[in-house]
Amino acid sequence: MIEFHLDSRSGVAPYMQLIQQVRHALRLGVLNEGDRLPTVKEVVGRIAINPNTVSKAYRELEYEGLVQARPGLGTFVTRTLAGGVQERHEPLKRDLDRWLAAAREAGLDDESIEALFLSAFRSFSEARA
Amino acid sequence: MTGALIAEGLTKRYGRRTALADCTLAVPAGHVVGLVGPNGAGKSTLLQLACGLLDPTAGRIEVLGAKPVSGSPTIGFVAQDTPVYGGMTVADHLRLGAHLNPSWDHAFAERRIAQTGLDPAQKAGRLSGGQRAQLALTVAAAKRPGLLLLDEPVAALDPLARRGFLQGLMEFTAENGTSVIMSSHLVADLERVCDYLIVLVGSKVRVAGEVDDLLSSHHRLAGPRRDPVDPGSGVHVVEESHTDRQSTLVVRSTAPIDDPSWQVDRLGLEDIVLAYMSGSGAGRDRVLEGRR
Amino acid sequence: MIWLTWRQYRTPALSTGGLLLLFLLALAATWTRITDLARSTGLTGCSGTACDRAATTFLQELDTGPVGPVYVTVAVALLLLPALFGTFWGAPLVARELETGTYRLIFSQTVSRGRWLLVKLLVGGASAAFGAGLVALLLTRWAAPIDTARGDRISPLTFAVHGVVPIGYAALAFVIGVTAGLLLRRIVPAMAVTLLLVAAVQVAMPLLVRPVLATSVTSITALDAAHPSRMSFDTGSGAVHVTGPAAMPNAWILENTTITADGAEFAGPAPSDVCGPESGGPEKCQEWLAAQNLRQKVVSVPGAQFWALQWRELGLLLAAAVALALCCLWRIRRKLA
Repeated sequence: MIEFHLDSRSGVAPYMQLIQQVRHALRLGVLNEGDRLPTVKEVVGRIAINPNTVSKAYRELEYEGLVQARPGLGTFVTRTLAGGVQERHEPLKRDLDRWLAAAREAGLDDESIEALFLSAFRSFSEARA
Repeated sequence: MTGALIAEGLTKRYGRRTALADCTLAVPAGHVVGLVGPNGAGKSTLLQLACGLLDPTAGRIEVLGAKPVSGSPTIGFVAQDTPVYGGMTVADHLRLGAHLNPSWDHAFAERRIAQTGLDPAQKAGRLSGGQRAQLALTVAAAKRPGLLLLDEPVAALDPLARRGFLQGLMEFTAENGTSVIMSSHLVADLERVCDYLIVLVGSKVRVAGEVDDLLSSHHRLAGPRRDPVDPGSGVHVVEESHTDRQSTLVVRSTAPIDDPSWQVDRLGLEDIVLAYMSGSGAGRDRVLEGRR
Repeated sequence: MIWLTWRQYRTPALSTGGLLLLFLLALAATWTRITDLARSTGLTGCSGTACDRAATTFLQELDTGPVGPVYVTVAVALLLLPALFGTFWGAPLVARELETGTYRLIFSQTVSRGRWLLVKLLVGGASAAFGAGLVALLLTRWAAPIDTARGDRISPLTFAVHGVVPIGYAALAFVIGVTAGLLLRRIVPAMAVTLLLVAAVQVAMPLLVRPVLATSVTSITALDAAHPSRMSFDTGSGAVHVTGPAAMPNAWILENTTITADGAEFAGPAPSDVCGPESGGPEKCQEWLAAQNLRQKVVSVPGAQFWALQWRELGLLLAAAVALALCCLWRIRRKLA
């Protein structure tokens, strides 16, 4: 069973943090198809968070088709994100490593690299949206 | 569905001192509501009006569709500093609850006491702050209220006890769907547990709404200095500060900010609350009142 | 609600109960002794002048045994009992809840403020009244020979610890305590104010109220100047004051004055050589006074009115207690903080 945690300093909305944690667990194979997610009561009893937040996260996950709620039984994982994804990550990470080395050679320090990446990422997402 | 709490022009004065001024609210049921504001802002007064311990000087208040009176079976109240009878044991408090509340759920109360690790034979006067708060919450919750009011329940607790208390409270809410209104000046706690927020400053309601709405409608704008500020129609300035070069605003707007000269950033709940609490927000009102 | 009242106040209730039980035991233990004493001295069933002699020996015997101290102790305890009920039962009742903030716990249970206070008032007031009444009625029976011998059952101090009025004092003192606690909201000030008020009631009743409740009898007789109970002479003005003998057993004397034939209060003046220091003794002055045709006016309440007066005073005290209790109930419903 997955155990949730909450980072109150991250600036990410609590329900989004829960979604990300489930997705992450699915990707890493911590959660597999058929696994039960903790009930809303279990989650709020552990991390002291608003029950509506947990319900909202579960609804969102259900909408994405990752989990399914079965009344009276709980919420179960219906699809896994593990497998193929990891293989697709590898070449992308190699490209990114190459880009980072090039940036360092061009004389950029860590902060500048991060700022450059974030601003490029932001304008990319905005253009898509 | 009737609202958990509806107030219209609610005012409470103690002699010449105004504790709560012209408060208008409509809090829907089914929420965990955070009531936040600095000390002395009127949080306790609002909660005590809501549980019928106080009567309003003017205006109207309705809780779960009825005028609140103390002794109501549908309202649970945990008062500030979580008062308990020092000379009575934990078990005595449960018997008290059982004797005085027809709707008392004794199995629930005993289960909760066991869960929180309280010794039923312990005198309540010897409990730690956290244990006392758990006991007071148990007594208030076991009467199965439709609305649970909590006045600064965690203010005096250490972080661990605070977390324990909030866990218990959230479990109870998840189980029963009880509406909760909880005051605090610790925004970080409220951010976790609340999905509705009321900001009370200087005896006035500054803002009230669902947390998600508040988060999506508040923005920080930064840009070259401009005075006077006119961010456009439908945009309400919550807080503004200026240096000789730059203006920084916290605004509330449901529409997106399309002025390209502003750099628009999202705000956390704590920043939003602080913006409402800070002096410039209050100063603006004072100016407005002066003009009238 | 009754369970809670008992749970909260069992300690003061049990300790006061224990104290009262102690008094009852002391009365029971000396019961045969006092009846034996009354019989052996001939007080029981006496008639005429024999009674006076029997009474004197009875009272002398009384001081040698434990009966005298028991009487004084229980009587003083009964006089102080209302103050105890007021300060230690009544005053903290609401004040403790207000001072420690527990009223916010109790009033968020499913119990109305009015009912909460009503139960506490009824249980506390009835217990106080019952305790005081039990001791007082037993003392009245126990001390019957002493009262006969002394003939002072209706005198203010004895009256207050006999019969049914202790019930009224206990109940009223308790409600005074509750009221003070409700208004002052602090235990210690409420206790202090209660103590003062209860003492004030106990002093004001015999001085101001009881004479009004009683039907007094005025008797005017020729002044027996040869046996005055008090006599004084002012050398400056020549004013002379004389009070006649007050030998009225079984009566409460409200007023004892000397008046002239036309009804005015007598104050001299007397010639200095008759009543002054140079007269060489009171005899000349007494002779002079006897020649003045003076009368003695005595206003008194006869002992026969004892029970009528007891019930009237009890009624008044209970009415005051109920009125005060209603004020408390009205107040707690309307306003708390």
